[in-house]
Amino acid sequence: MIAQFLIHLSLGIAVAFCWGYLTASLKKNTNALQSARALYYLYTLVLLIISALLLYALVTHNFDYSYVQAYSSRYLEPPFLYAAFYAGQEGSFLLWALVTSFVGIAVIEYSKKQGNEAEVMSFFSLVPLFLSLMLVAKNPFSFLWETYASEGSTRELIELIKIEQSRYEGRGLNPVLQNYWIMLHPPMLFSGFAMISVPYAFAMAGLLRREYHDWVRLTQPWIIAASLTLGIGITLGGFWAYETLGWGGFWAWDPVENSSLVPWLLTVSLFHTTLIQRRTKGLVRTNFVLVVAAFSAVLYSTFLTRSGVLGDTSVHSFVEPGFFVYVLLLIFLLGFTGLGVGLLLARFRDISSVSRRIGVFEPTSREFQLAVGAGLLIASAVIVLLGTSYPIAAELIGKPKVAIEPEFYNKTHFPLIALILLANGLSLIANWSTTPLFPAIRSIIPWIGISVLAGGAAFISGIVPSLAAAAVFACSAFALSINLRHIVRLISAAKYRALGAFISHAGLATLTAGVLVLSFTSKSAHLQLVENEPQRALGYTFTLLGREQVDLHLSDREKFRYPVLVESKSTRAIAYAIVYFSDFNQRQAPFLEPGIVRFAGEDVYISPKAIDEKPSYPVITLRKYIPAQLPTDTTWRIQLLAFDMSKAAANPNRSELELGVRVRLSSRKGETIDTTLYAIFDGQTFSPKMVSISSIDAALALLRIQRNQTAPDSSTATIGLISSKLDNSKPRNVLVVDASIKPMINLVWIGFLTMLGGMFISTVRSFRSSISAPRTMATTKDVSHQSTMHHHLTTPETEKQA
Amino acid sequence: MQKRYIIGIGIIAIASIASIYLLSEAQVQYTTIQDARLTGKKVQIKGQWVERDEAYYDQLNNSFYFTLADETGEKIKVIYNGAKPNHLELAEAIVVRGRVEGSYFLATDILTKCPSKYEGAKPLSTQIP
Repeated sequence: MIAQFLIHLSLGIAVAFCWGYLTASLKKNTNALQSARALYYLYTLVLLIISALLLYALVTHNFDYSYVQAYSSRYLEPPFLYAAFYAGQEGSFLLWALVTSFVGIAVIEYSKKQGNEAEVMSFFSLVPLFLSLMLVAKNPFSFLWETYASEGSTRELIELIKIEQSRYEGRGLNPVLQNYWIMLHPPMLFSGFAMISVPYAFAMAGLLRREYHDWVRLTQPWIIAASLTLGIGITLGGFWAYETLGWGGFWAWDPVENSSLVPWLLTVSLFHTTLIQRRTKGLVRTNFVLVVAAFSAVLYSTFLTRSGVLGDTSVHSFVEPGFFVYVLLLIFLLGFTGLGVGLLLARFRDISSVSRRIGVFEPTSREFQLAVGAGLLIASAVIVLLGTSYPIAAELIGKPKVAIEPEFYNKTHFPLIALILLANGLSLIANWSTTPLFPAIRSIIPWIGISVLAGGAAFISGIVPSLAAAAVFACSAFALSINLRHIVRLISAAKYRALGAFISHAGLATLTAGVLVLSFTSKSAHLQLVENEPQRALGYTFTLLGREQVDLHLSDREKFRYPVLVESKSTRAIAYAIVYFSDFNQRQAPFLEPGIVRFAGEDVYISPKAIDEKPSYPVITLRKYIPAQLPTDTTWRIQLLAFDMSKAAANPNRSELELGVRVRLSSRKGETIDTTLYAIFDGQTFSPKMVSISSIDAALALLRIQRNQTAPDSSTATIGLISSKLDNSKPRNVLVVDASIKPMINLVWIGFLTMLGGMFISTVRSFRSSISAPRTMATTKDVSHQSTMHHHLTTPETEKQA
Repeated sequence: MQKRYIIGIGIIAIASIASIYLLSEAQVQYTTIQDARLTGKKVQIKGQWVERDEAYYDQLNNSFYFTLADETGEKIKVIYNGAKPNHLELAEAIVVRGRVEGSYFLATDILTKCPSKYEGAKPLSTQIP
């Protein structure tokens, strides 16, 4: 009860501080400002208490709450029990609200020093207001008897159930999510989302105050921090998909992946265009448009993933949240976008009358190359957005339902990434404002030489199959070598803080090369691994060593790992493919996790597809009329005469069917034995009734019938021959897998890590310089200000020329 | 100034035409079995897995054979190049992507739509006798 009250209270407080900040900014009222600030701190405290209450409910297994009942169970152990906090919509909105409130405190402290707290917070406060409203609508503390009232649940019934402890149980957390990545991936994404609202708020405040440049300087650290955090979140998701979910790759162009990529792309491009604005005072309106677009993309992404509109096309989507939430999300999406666009339009003329660009934006200038790069990133964002929204748009205008193939994104991004890397390389060679053409051409020649060599080598060695792919490879070599050169120079000059941009771009180039190599040289094979029978494929020998049950202490699951020995001439290692059955789906279908062996050059990726057991006795598969020799005694032959469905037909409504086959055994000596073999089929498995036949010294068992109605004669029956002479030891395990080798996958991970590492350095540097720059200085020295990273990008070459 | 805008608009126009063309290439329509037979194009069909006891997985060829009934009730034999998708039994509906060849539907992908994909099975309150 108290938690429900607190959620409503948080909405009340949010309304109050929104009002307070608005009053403070419109009437310059310091009292209002101070109380709004106090209320904001109170709001954060209330959210902390609400979150603690939810955690407490989870830890104490209070299944009175439908959220706790829906996403956890007594079997759920820490840390997954804590992660159940944000396993559903309600909790993840709470997490988002909590992270946003923390970010808001940082924004208050940050903007207080800049003297624009009232205006900035007037806009920022709208985000917690929105999230609190969402929490009221999707309350994680609603009781079972409230949630399921329409299904006849009442408080009394729940109290009755409670007496019987075993039935007072939660549904549990989806086993797919029970992985340590869940501890990091969602919180990172939400932190990134929360941070993107900061530049939006500062930009809106800038428009309101008619300060069109200052917000750029102030929020650059936030922009890069948001790119970093969201980037980490996305990367973790990709690694999770590869390592545990067994999707085989790290990126599937799934709509939900796409909808987190679009805000990232826009934020990264915003970072680049703000660099240009700080240098040239140009792109003022572009940056306002971009900041609104980036924040709207976050809301659009939320709308896509939470409203259920993607239901048909995604692996991620949550269940339908209800009409009210759908409308609420739509209102907020349109509201925040409309506010941004409206304010910008209101100031549109004012901006052009006030702002004067410095320089002429020559094609040979660094700002031009940066703009090209940013434009390409925007193009990528637009393409991904188009592809993701197209099925929804088609449905809205009444066209037939469609899906977009991942090929669309691959095709379009192939040239895009090449051009982005090219622009990056060129931007490092070019100077700000203008570059003398001939020295630039002279300095570019060695880099072109290196990249042509790299592309050519990749093509000739067969790493990339086409000249187009070789060209992309050459572009990544171009960007990589130029960035590496700068990294070396900066390190030798001990200018470590300026390294960020070069490291992250080197990372992007590495990532691109890795993805290229991986997508063109990855090979896969379908294998049926029988225990202790080595199989050769893909240059390795695969041997299934057996099966062992793990996690024995957890009674809600039956978990097996299948060790597969992977050997080549030089290496050997064991991959553990995981197959488990969980109470989560009443153990009806297994959950599968890939086994991965990581060699330096490549990963061997073993994705389980099916499990089976191979009997240790001989098995014959018979087609009608075609006789087969008995493997145990070659003087005897067996023939399938007919299928006998009479017993099954007699009881058509039974869930268990008794199926039969009539078979004839005939020996060379002329003996003939006719018999009918039966087995009970329960829809899943065959339980045979064995028939002992003394003349062949064995028992026959009907193991399986494979009916083919269109061609009845091709129907088959599988019969086991259980001989008394044979050693009827334990059946052997069979694991059906898709095995693949992933060459240079480490290049991809290194690329991701390097890119994010570079962003981290830039973030730290950007915050330091931005905090240390006092405001009065900044406004007057905006152009010559030396605090952002790109000002230090002036390369040794360009310094010489300048 | 004006020239810049014209170039910009030109680039945007070319890019949008190119991406709309690529989009129309990459789209795969949801349709019926009858339609898929007529066009022979790559399509998606939403339907139910029927005649379940006849479905089987050929481990050697790595193919899963089963029968699909679409929303009009028409049936077709599907050959899916892969093992039986996990959780197929639990799916309330399935979507196959591929094309009709001869009398078979050759599926390259199968999407299972599980009501319980991210939610556990029954709410506690409905377990009451």
